[in-house]
Amino acid sequence: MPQAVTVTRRWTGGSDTSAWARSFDAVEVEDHVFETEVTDSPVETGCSISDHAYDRPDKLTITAAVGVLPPPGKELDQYALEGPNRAAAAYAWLQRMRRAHEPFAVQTGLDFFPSMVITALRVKKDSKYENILYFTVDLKQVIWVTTQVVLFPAKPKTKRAVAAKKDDGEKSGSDPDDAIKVKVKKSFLKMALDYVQKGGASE
Amino acid sequence: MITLPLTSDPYRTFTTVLGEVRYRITTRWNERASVWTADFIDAETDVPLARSIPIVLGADLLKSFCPKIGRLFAIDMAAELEHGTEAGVDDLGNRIKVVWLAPDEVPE
Repeated sequence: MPQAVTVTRRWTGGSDTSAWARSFDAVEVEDHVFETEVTDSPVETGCSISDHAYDRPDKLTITAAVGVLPPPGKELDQYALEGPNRAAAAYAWLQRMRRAHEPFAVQTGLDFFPSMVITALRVKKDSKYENILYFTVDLKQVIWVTTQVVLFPAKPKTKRAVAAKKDDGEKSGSDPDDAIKVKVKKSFLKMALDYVQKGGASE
Repeated sequence: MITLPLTSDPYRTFTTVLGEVRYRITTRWNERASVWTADFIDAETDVPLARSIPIVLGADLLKSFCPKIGRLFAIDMAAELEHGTEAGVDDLGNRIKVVWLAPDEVPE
């Protein structure tokens, strides 16, 4: 088995009432990926222009191992797995964690990552690793966002909305009085004047 | 020349004779656009002739829609021609009168 870089890394999670923590017998590799995406917009001539940048979720790739039996001569911390077959227990636990899709915290030698989920679990089995669980796990940061709910006041009903269609049946128009006739005549004359001023273009 | 029997009921229909033709006229208050509109339907054949004609001042309302019905003018009874105010929700049939003229009629 390759020499481990550490045995003290921990994964922690759960709520206050069901908090848990785990560590593994040996951690061989911790790969950290921090990426920032620069958005590009192609332009018709010249090159793409960049108008924004945002951080992608952090990614971890951890290669670690858990033996069937505790490592000889090594005192396990309180977070190590226990049981008659610790490798099998570790495998079952990792699978549960992967399928739970619940974020948990990971402490590596570099930094603390408070919200990670398992995106891939690779387990290698050959003659060399027969009695240990030698696995590589990919983790990805879950970025939490919240949305705000704003309640708008109910739109007041309009006069039209509350009114049913009114059918007044047969109605007769009335002869306009003199005041109306004068105004109609003025409107008519104004339209005629506008028509003349526009050279009849609108007719 | 006939003054149409309009009221400010926000959604109203009635049938009336203009010239020799019976029309079913429906008036509606359009809240979003704040404008009254009118539909003209041939009452005998039920054929829509013009729909959602905005009832506004200073224009022959039917000219662009269906001139053969005649001419239609909205008149602000409370102001002179150049200073009229468009019909509000309570103004149709009150401050704002709508007058129909036959297609070949010229006001005296």
